[in-house]
Amino acid sequence: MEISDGKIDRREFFAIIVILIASKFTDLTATIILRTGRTAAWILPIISFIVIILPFLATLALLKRFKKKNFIEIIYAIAGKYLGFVIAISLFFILLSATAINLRNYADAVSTMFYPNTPVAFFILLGAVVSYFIANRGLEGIGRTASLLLPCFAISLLLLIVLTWQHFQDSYLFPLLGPGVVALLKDGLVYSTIFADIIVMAVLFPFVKDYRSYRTASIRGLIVSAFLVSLFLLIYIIVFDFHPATVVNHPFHQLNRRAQLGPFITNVEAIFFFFWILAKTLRFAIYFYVMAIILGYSLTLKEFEPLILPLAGLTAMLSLIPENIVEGTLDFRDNFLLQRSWLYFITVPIVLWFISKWREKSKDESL
Amino acid sequence: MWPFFPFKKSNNSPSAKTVVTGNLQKDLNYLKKAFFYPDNKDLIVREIYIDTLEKEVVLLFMAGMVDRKVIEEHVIKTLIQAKPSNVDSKLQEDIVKRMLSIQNTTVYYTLEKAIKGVLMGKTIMLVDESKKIFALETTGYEHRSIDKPERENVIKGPLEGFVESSLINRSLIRRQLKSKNLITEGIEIGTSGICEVSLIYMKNIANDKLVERVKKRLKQVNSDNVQGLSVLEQHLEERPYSLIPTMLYTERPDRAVAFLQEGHIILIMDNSPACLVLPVTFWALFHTAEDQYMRWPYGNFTRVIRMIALLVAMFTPAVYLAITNFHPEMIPSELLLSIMNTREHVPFPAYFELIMLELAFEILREAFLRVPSLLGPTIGIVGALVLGQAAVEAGIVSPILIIIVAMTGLSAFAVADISFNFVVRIIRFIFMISALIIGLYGIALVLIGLLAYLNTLKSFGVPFMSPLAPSGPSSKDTLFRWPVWKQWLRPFYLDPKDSVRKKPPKRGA
Repeated sequence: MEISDGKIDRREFFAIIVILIASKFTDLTATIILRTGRTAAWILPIISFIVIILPFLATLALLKRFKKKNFIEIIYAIAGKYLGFVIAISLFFILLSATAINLRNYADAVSTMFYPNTPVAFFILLGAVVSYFIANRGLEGIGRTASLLLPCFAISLLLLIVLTWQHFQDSYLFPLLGPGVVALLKDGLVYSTIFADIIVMAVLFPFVKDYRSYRTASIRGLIVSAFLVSLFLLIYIIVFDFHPATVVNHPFHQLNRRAQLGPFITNVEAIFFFFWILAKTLRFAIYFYVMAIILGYSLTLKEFEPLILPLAGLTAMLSLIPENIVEGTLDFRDNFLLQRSWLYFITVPIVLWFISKWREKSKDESL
Repeated sequence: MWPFFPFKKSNNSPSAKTVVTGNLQKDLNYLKKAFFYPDNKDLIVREIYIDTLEKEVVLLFMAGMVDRKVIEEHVIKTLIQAKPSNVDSKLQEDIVKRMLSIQNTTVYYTLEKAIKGVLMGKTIMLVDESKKIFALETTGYEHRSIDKPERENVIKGPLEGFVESSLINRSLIRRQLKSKNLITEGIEIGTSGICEVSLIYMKNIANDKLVERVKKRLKQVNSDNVQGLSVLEQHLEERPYSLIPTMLYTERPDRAVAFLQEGHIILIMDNSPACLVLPVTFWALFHTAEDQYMRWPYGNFTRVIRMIALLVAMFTPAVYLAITNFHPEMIPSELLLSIMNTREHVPFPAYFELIMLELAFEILREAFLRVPSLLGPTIGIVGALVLGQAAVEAGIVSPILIIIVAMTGLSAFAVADISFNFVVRIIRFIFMISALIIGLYGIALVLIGLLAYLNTLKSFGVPFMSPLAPSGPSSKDTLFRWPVWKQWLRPFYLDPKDSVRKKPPKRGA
């Protein structure tokens, strides 16, 4: 009697997606978006969400058509062996660099804000080790832990909002449209990669119970994450003004420092730090697992689970490359990652969908 | 068969079945030699001559394992005083059917089984010229009377605990669950075949595959004598080196019955005043019997208090270390000043003191288990007053640490289950070490690692954190519980045959 067959159900997948995407407002993605969007930074995630809807729906349609295949297998099925390999491996490299940069940003945040005397490499190593351990327990372990902890994160975020309420100043929001509509639309398009994870999650499709739960969980997850990212960017603007918000390196942790309840409960950022670490470690565990799947399926290997350990080590080593946080954020993340990979995530699913539709039509016509 | 060489291994193995010859003297000599009679004073051989059948009958039993009265009155007396009747003397079954007033008999055809029967407390009756041996059920030995359970006491609920006799334990369960679907299977385990485990389950609820799985595990036990359920648990468990137990060890029959009704399986053995429940989930280890006996608000209240106590017991020393060493800005300024004040004269760093005190507490706890009850209170006062107070006054430890260690230690007692208590205590040390190394970051990492580990554990195919982690239909009896009349489903994770306890409550009820 095995009720657990290695598949995760709707609740767990929803928790994974929310933790993956929504935790982006807690790290340096927020800084980057605040820098470009200024007072309208909270509109950018909404625009990015609208931009990513089309590729996302194309991905869903593809998954529905090829039942039980994951995204990489679909790429191979449609684009053939060589082009498919190029597309799949480039996805892997995008994800690898994203994870390495993320890991570095996270270690930097921990080191700068809370443990200034400890070298960054220590946190990179520890974070990678524990995330590897969680990823090693399999998708069930990640999913169940995520669904267990999601209510705790929700409560801690709510508490954060309640405790920082007194610092909200709506006048900081104006001018509402910030740098202007055209600039917003352009930046929204470019930064749609913050939600591109939802397309990457398509590689987990065979591990989710069925199509319906996958679809419901990803749509709900995407909407909730977009809402949360937008909400917290709004909060950053109205608590700090837009200019200090762009200067501050870690807006989430600075927000935690502002949480206060009377003269007694001040400086409680360590509690929120605690929950933030839990969320981030889960996020890296998911990234490691997904990277292993992508690499395994791209190279058409029989098993992908042994890849998790070397990928964790590789990511940790790559995270050591940026010399400091400015280089890590501005240079690597902004320039290299976010601004260059949006094209990939928007075009690949749509193009694949068109090709598969065209092939279906030509097959129907030839019959 | 004959000849019998006592040093030849093959003759001692249970597979060498020595068939009853029918010659009374030969069989009797075989059995006597097997028990080393007359060196073995405990084996009693009683020869009887039945007038009416003109047959010789020999009774063999083990003194101390049999109920003397039953043998004297129902066996020997009835055999000797048997009235003549038109009984065909060739039918040996008639001895049992018409003459003996014993409640239960079995027929054996091999001498090995006869030996086992004697060891179990049965009386073996050898009849001349008969290839059948009758085993009469006369088991009766001294055992403790039913008493309050040692560790799992409740205020509102039954106060009976299991005792060391398997028969009485089974009767305690049967009295609470009077159902014809309640089945007891006797399974022999071990290589010598004298250990019997009673496997109890509800036939119309428990999953057949689970029962088969448990039986398979039981038959794989490779030991000549399993002394009790505690040792059996270690033979059966799936993860011998893990901190988390695979089964629940409980002393209360009412808890056993509650688990039976959900579809779990109970194991009972002689010499163990408890039963094993398998499979087990985290909630089985966390809940107590009293939660269900109290009313809804009180039951939930005690559960919340116990959960807080569990968190306090696991995290308090680690959080104290983390905050004072790495995040002192979290402490409100007045408290910080008073902590600094008390720590000023203490020569040791916080972690050293804490580990010293925690070890001292654990040593005291072990010691109190073995102190004779006459000296118990005195030593308690000595421990608390002298060690604690004097240590503070000598300036070796700070008073705040005494408070933390005492609070942690007492909270650990709030965890009812024996194994889970150890889990909490050991994990507490792991958290302390991680807090020592890198503060709250370390605690968070160990916590999430622990959660991921717990979530993927399985106990006989059931995920450990069900029904919370893989969520599915159940009575929603996890951290909080519904009122009893709303708990109408059996939990899904055991895959029960009958998943509904009662009809779902109507709206507005």
